Parts: sequence; structure tokens; C-alpha cells
Amino acid sequence: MNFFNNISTYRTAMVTAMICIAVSVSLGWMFDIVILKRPFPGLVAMNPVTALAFLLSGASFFLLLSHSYPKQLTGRILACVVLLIAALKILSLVTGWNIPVDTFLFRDGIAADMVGGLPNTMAPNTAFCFLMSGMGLVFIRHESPEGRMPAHTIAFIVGLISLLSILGYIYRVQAFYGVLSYIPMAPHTALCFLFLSLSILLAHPGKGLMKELSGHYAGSMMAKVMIPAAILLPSGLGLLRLMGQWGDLYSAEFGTAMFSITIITIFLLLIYYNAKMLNRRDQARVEAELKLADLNYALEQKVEERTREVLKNESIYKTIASSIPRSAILIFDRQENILFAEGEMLAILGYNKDKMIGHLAAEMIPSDRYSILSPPLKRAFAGEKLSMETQSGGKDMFVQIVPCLNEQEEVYMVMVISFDITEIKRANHQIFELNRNLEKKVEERTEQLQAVNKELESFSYSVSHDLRAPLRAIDGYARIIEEEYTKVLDDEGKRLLSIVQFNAKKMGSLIDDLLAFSRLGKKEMQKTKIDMKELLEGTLIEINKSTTHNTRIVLHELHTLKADYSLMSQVMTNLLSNAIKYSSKKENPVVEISSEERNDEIVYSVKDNGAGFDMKYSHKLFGVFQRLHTMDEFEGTGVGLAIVQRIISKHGGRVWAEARLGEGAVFYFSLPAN
Amino acid sequence: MSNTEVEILLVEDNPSDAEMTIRALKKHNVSNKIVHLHNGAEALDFIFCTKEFSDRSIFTQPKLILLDLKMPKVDGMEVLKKIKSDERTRKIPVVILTSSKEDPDIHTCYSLGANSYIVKPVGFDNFVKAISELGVYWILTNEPPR
Repeated sequence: MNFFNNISTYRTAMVTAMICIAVSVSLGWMFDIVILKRPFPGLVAMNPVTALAFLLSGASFFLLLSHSYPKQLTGRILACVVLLIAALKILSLVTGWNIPVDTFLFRDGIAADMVGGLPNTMAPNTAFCFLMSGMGLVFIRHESPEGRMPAHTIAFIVGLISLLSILGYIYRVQAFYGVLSYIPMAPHTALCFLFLSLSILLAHPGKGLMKELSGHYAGSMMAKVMIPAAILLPSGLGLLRLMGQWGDLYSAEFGTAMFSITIITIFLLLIYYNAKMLNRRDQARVEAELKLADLNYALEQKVEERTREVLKNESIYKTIASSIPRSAILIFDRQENILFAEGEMLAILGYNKDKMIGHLAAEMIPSDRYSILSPPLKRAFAGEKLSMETQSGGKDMFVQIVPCLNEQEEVYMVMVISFDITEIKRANHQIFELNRNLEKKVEERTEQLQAVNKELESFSYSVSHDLRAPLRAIDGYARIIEEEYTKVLDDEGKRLLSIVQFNAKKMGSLIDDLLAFSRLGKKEMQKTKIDMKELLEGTLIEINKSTTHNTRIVLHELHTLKADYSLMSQVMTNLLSNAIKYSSKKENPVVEISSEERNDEIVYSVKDNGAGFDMKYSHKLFGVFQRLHTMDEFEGTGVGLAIVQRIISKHGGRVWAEARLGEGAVFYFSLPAN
Repeated sequence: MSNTEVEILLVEDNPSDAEMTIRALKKHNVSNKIVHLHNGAEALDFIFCTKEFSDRSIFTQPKLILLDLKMPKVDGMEVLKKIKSDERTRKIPVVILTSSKEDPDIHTCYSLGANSYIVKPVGFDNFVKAISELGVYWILTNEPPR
């Protein structure tokens, strides 16, 4: 912008200067002020018409620069007037006709002002220059299709001619000073033409010839520096050479030689500097190009890599989508174009997945299915994630419709994933049916079991009743015989009878124990929190009622347990009675009861110092009717421990025993600690 | 049977049990006037003076009825029920004498109004003891209803 400001300043200044010169010359002619007509004494004065022509040219220039069409038109008209003047003068010179175009102003004054015996007229080259300048002004805006401006070419020619004239004056060219058949161009005329031509050139700096000299490229920058040098240096050097010759310092030939050498040197320097600058610029450019090429290459590599990744990803997605069995994945964009279509269900449902991509959903999906899909699809594009069950091609399908968000959290595409759930539904239905059947079976089974239980009840009832009666009779009649016929019986007879009675009693016990054992299975367990000490005390009281003993019972601190009270009573009764019974033959029978916690279990122990048993028969201990002693040693039916084991197993625990023959035994039972 | 006063009515289908019971009662001087019937039907006829016992007076009732439960034809429960639901016979003390220790039986009998429930001991000694004790109690100790 600064540059342009300068340009308009320069050209305004130059044209203004030109106008001022013209005005002062006119004033000179008007008021006969010699210094204005002829600033350089002895030299030609500017013709008044020349001055007028300059005035018109200046005005035309300013008018042509404006953007308003009427002004431009006026400018052109003025330029045409200048053309006319010039044309008339040239015509008169060529044809020899006397057209007083340059003498009609200030006729007397002109006649009076003579140089070398000739009145002041417009010089031929002045006329030529005005002809050219006029055309230049008229065509100042004209631009050829190739971008050339004829005005610039014209101005350049005019400029050269004016420069030649100026140089002529500086170099004291005799023809300019002496008497001629025609008047040469006045020096200030030449200056004015220089100003005018430069201004025309600067009127449109970015176009025509000036295009290469304006702007910031290397060439323009260099030209801007070198053009003034190209003009001034040779001119100056020429003058120097002449001055040397005038001062008789050297001959014309030497002078010319020196001039040539200087010009050569200057050229060479300029060329060197130019070359260096251009080389630098080119180097920088080449480096930049190389860097760019490298970057490009790297970029291309990246693009290739990315493309490969994308392709790989794409193939991964395709593989994933097509590997999920009985599924189909479709992806739609906002316009419902199909972006992606994979999955074996597509073929099964009658689609051609390769043909689907790029087409609209409404085109590729049959209208009945489309009408089901379209509303949820629209809702998905509004941001909703949906799922639904539908039927398609005779199959039950589960469909998930998922919106996909971009970085700005907007829905830019929607994924529709469908699964064939026909099989699953069928399997579910089967399971449901099986369950129903199972439940029915369970009900039936329960009924059966309940019936069986009832049978068992009546069984034990009849056992308890019907088996006991004959027993009583056996025992009773044996007794009666004993009582009534005691005189008749001898010892042997009495002994035999007692055996009969004894066996009857035994059978009674067996029946009772067996009944108790069988009844265990029937009852439902009611677990409560039991204070073992309290239970044991109760048990001992009961035992003491039916047996006399002198066993010392030691109760240690006992854990509370959660179990069925009556069943546990039975357990303790059996264990305690056993302990007491089997230690009854000792002098100081002691029974110890304790408990401890061991690995998530509570272990209770009943220890006696009685007869003990041989450990190699320990596996027989808990069998029904199994005994390790004879009835002579200790009475008992062998059911007690079996009952204990059954009860403890029902509670989820274990029973076992350790003993030493003759020294005593310890009976353990464990229950889970919870 | 005759119209002579009956003190104890024994309803028992098992002859051995019956014999032992009668022997025990006699031996311990509880009573001599014991009538033994073999099943529930006979018992009801006796109590309500029907059929072969129609010449009995309904107002002359035994001081004690020893009733077994498991009997053919009409069982003990039935007899108990009938006796205890009739205004005329309700007051007669009925002692259930049976082998069964089944809870339902005990419960039902008491609900029906049995005065006592004895389980026949298995051992003969105990049996005799029980019979004599209950006999002494109900005939001699207890004040009969009027």
C-alpha cells in the first residue's frame, strides 16, 4: 500500500510540475517575461502552443485518472485536442503547407523572439511527442487481451526521446546550441515530456510494461533499484567522459575507451550482483522445494499408512460384521443412504449386500419392511437408542438401532443391527414347556411321597399295636405259670421260664427302638437355638429317673447350637446313657461332656472312662443292631448309636468315636457352625 | 348275661390280655363283678341295653369301663364316642386300655371325653401293677358318679 501511495504522489507531483512549467511559460509569453519563456538563456524557448498542449495534457491526465465516466470522456476529448494540434503541425511539416498551429498564439511575441534568425515554432520531435502522448492519453486505460498496454509503450518511446533531448543539452550537442533549419525541443519541453511519459507509465502500475516493475518479486525489487542506475550512471559517465575531453585531459578515442570500460565494469558488477541475488533466491527456492518434496513424501507416506489402516479397519469391520452368526448390520447416513451392509442375514432375507451400498434405504428395502424401520430410524437420528422385535421373511428378528455421534456430539449416522432369534425363541418356549411339565411331575411325585409316608405311618402304628400284644401274653402267661405252679416247677423249670420272659422283654425293647428309629425319618426338623447345658441337665434328670448310677457327670462350657430340640435330646440321651452304662462297672465312673470349634464346625464330645472298645471294630459302632458287647456284659439293642448317627446326619454333621479297650471311649459329633 | 350288678366292664378282644387283666383285678381284690365283652358292638349293646342285653336296666351301669381301642366290628373309639355323647351314659368313667402310644389316639380319646388313657405295659409285672393300681383307684378310691 505504501508503494502505491508513493506512486500517486510522484505522478501527481510530476504532472503538477509540468502544468506549472506550462503555466509559467504561458505567463512569460503573456507578459513577455523572458526568464519564464527561456529559463536557460541562449537556448530555445517553449512555444506557447506547446505550453498549451502541456496544459491540456495535464488536465487530461488528471481527468482520465478519475472513476467518473463524464470526467474520463472530457479527458479523452482534451487529449484529442492535443492530438489534433500535433497532427496539424506534422502535416504542415510533411506537406510544407503553412498551418499556423503553433504561431496563432502570441503571434507578435513569437515573431519578435528569434533564435538564430528563426521565429519560435514547435519542434518536429515535440510535435511527434505530442502525437504519441495524445494517443497515449486517449488509450491510457486500454489493455490488450494479453495484458499489454499500448499507452506504456508509447510513453516509453516519448520518455526515451525526451531523455535524448535532455542528454543532448547536457552533453552540449552542437545541433541543440547552434543554428539549425529547425528549432530543437526546448529543454523544459523535454523535461515536461519526461514527466508526462513517466506519469503515463505510473498511471497503471500493475499492468502492461509496469507489471514487471511493480510488486515484491525479486525482479521488480531489482528493477526498482537498477532502472535509476541504468539511466543515471551511463548519463553521468558520458558527461564525465565529455568533461574530460573538454578539459583536454584525454582524446575522444581514449575518452570513449574509458567510457566503454566503465560501462563494462558497471554492467559486470550489476550482473554479478544480480546473479548472486538470483542464485540466492533460487537456492532458497530449491531448498524450499526440496523441503516441500520431503514433506510431501512424508505426507504421502502418512496418507498411505492411514489408507492402509483404514482399509485394514474396514476389512476388520467387515469381518466382524459378517462373522456374527445370524446377524445383519446396516449403517445409514442422515439422507438414509446405505453406507455399510454386512452379515449373513442379508442374503437370507433376500438382499444383495454389495448392491446396497450407496443407495437409499427406501430403494433397497421392500416397502413393508421399510415402513416398520423408518419411524425408529428417524427417532435414532434424533438421538434415541432403540430396540425392537419384529418379523421378517418368516423369521423372528431382534433389532437394535444405535445412533453414532461425531466429535461435535451430533448424530451423523445410525447403525441398525438385527439378529435372528427364531431359534432362541423356540428354545425358550421349549424350556418353558419343560419347566411346566417338570413342575407337574414334581407335584405328582410329592403326592406319591406323601402317600408313601402315610403308609409308613400306618405301618408303624400296626407295629406298635399288633406286635406288642402277643409279647405281653408270652410274658404274662409265663409269669402266671411261675406264680401258680411254682411248687411244681424245679429250678430248671424256673430258669427256662425266666428265659421266656427275658426274651419277651427284649423283643419289646427292640420294637420300641425300631419304631423310634423309623419315626426319625418322618418328622420335620424344627431348628431352634439350644442351650446345650440346659438340654443336658434335662436329659440327665430323665436318665436319673429310669436308671440309678453313681457316675459323676462333668459339664464343661458348651457352645450353643441350632438344631431340633427333641432330636438333639434323643442324641444326648442315647450318648449319655451309653456312657453311663458302659462305665457303670468302674469304681469311679466319670463322664465328661465338652465342645470346641474346629474349622467351621462345632465338635461335641462325650467322654467316659468305662469299658471302651477295640478300635478295629469302630466301623461297626453305628450300624443298626450292631453291638460290640454281649448282653451279659451290657444290655442294649444296638440301635441307640444308629439313631444318633441318623439324627446328626440329618443336621449335616458327622459322628465318630475313639476308644481304648478297658480304659474308656470318647464319642464325637460335629455340626456345621452357622 | 344276668342283671346282677356289674362293677367293671372290660371290652377287650384279645383273650390273653383279657385273662391277665381279670386275673390281676381279682388277685388284688379290686373286684369280682367283672363283665368281659369281646368287641365294640357287644359293648354298645350292653351299655345301651339292646339286643341280647335288652333285659338290662340302663340305669344300672358299671362303675368303670376298661376299653381297648383296636377291636373288630366296632372299635373302641366308636364306643367311647357313643358312650360319652349320650346323656344317660356320659358319666361312666372310661379308661382306655390299649397297646397304642400313638399321639393321635391319645389326643382323640381325650377329646372324646376319655377319663384316662393307659398304655398296656409290655412286661407282665408292670402290666399287673398298672391294672391293679387303676382298679384300686377307680373302684375303691375314686367316688363314682351318681
